[in-house]
Amino acid sequence: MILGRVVGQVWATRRDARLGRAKLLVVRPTGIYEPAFDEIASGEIASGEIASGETAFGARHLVATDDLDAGIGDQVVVCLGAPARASAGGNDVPVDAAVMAVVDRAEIDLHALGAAGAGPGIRRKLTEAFG
Amino acid sequence: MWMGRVVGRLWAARQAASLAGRKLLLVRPETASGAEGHRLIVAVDGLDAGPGDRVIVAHGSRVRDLTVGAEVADQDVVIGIVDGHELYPS
Amino acid sequence: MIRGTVVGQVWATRKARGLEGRKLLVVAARDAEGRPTGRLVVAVDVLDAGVGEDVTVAFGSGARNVLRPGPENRDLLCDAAVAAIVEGAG
Repeated sequence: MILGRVVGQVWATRRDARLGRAKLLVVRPTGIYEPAFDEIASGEIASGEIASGETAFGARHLVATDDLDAGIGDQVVVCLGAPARASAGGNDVPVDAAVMAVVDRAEIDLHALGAAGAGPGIRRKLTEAFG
Repeated sequence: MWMGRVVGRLWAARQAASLAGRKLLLVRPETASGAEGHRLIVAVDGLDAGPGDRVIVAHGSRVRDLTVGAEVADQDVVIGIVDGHELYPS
Repeated sequence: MIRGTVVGQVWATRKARGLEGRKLLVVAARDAEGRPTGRLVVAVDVLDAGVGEDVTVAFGSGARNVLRPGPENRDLLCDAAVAAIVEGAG
């Protein structure tokens, strides 16, 4: 999954019926994530290019369904890929991103991050994001 | 998912049989703040989106199977047409 | 699966159904040779891995199998789970 911040909302009345009335939130990934989800274009958005501001997509946000009533400004954990089908109360919803947790608190151990080989640029960004 | 703007449509002189009857749209990824992506994506449209529409595109074989059918080659599918959005400074 | 090192944790009372009470860890990814990739993964943890520990993380249906083995796990909104705590390599 990825960690991100809710920065907006999208409304779409014309939608695949299986989405029901699920909320669609705009999420900005916090940090840089492993794009191990080969089925996921959103993985490109969530992956390393975010740090440089440039993506193959040029998109810095992803759109995710939300069933947990996350609010603007909340930090959320987003499930990507085929497992996201289990969102909006169903298990065959044709989406590739769904909020699976609303964050109370997130902590990164900077020492462990450094020991794990993360460079100073990444550490700085994560310090800003994780507080 | 990602948002994008429908900038065109593809008509095929010849195509895989499984694509017959499917509308193929050219979509430029576009963030909620209006920043545009560098490349266009060919997405299958199941919702009758038109030029200029802002759409929501989902990616993946599961999404494809659930919407336009497993025989369709394209894994990018329009699953919503955007009425509006709000973006807050992050 | 990928290799990684646990570098943090996320606490969340509100979680998708079936995941209540589950621990969420932040893992710094490493390639198969053990070199950091500079990227992170947020993964569910059932093995009680601690910060600084080396782990492997499973994705997709593999992740769901870690949480709940068998076919009845498709309703879990989880795409990554810590699958093993690594003691050594080579």
